[in-house]
Amino acid sequence: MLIKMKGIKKSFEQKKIFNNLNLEINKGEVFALIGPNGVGKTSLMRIILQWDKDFEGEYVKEENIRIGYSPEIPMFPEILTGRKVLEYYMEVRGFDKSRYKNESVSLMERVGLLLTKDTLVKNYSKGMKQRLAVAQSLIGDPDLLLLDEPSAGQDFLGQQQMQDLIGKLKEDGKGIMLSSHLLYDVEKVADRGIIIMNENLYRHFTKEDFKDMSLADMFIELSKEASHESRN
Amino acid sequence: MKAVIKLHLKENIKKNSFIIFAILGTIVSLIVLFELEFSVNGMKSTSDYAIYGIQWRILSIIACLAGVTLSMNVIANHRQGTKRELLKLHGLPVYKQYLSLISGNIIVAFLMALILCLGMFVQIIIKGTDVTFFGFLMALFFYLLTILISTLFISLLTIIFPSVVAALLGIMIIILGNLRGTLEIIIGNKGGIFGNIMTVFLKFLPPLDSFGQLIIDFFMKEFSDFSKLFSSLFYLWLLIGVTYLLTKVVERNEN
Repeated sequence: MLIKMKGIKKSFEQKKIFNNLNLEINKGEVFALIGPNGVGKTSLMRIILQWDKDFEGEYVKEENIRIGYSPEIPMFPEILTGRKVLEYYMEVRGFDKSRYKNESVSLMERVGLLLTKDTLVKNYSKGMKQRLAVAQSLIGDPDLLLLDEPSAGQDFLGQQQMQDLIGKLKEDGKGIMLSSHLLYDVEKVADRGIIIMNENLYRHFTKEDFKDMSLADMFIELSKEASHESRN
Repeated sequence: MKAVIKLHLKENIKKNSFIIFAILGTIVSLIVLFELEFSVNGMKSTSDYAIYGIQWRILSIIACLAGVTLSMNVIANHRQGTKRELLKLHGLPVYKQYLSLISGNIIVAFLMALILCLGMFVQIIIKGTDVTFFGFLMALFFYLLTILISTLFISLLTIIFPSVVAALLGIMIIILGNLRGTLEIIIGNKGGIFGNIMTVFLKFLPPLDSFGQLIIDFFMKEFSDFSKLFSSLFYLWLLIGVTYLLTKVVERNEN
């Protein structure tokens, strides 16, 4: 077990976001985090990262766990090239210059940005910035990766490469929390996950469930349930 | 911290505002330095002490204002998106991020101050003013301390207030700081509760006028006021301490 959350309750500006949320992420598995916009997916990641400590409930994580995070809207220094952005974060971490030169190129290759490694970030497309964010999250060889919409803005090839990368990271034994609106892609890589519809309505699922019902159908069913509840 | 400072320098020295300020500032300071003529009670002053005193003061004010312009948006920009959090995740605590940005602000302001000072250097060579190399270096050192104290003050304001408010306060503080001694005399003479409160308030302002005096005293080899030297350096030392404490408090609040 990498992290475990039990009975998490969280409010933001007097609006409840989670009421008794439970989840667990293990090594070598992809945990999908699904839900409509504004439901609190990024907030949940912020709790896991301990950037937000204002919540109730139990949150346990493995000792000395290293967590990497790829934000939904990456903001990197625009005057640097993609490779230099990675080297910047490596320097902040205190890596040796000799080490980060090689590692930055290797990370750029892993996310499919090798050909544009020396292009300025300001000239990157949204999808390229997203891939750079994923590369940034891999610095320091984390045990758990929180990927917030890593496929947003990606072209078809980019989405395929992202799926392959997530698959490889899983094989390497990393735990991955994946937040995405691309449900068909999530279905291909996720082992388990949760659909959060509102503060009280959740549905946990495993990849075995996809034999009976697709993730998109589960989502629609849950959203119908939510609108039925709100009418009553 | 080094990586953040390096990036800050790269980002800010390439900025249009830096280049424009450097060009305009150098032109303005050159014009002022070469054309400056002023009179006291209708008598044209020809004393080097008076002329260079005014020139150093004008240079310091232009450089301090450059510091305000170059520092005003730095903290606000850093607070956008997940910049702070990502750096924290990679092992750099928030207070160290702020200290790095403030250090970067100071280095950028120093560079601008040195560019602006080139005019003074050229003028001394052309006019053949009677100054020693040591005197010039000491004057330059205190000139940079003036920039340090004002940029530090402005950076602190940008941590607490929104950029525009901080910039306006910064400009006001630079003006009041340069007039501190004069204002203390005027307000002190008035007396009363208002006078007493204002005198205490003035003590909190950066002693830019004292630094100005030290610059010209060293420049003209007429330094003798040790109490002014120590009180000015003490203020700087306190300000550095307050900066450290404030970044720690802000970090705790942001967490």
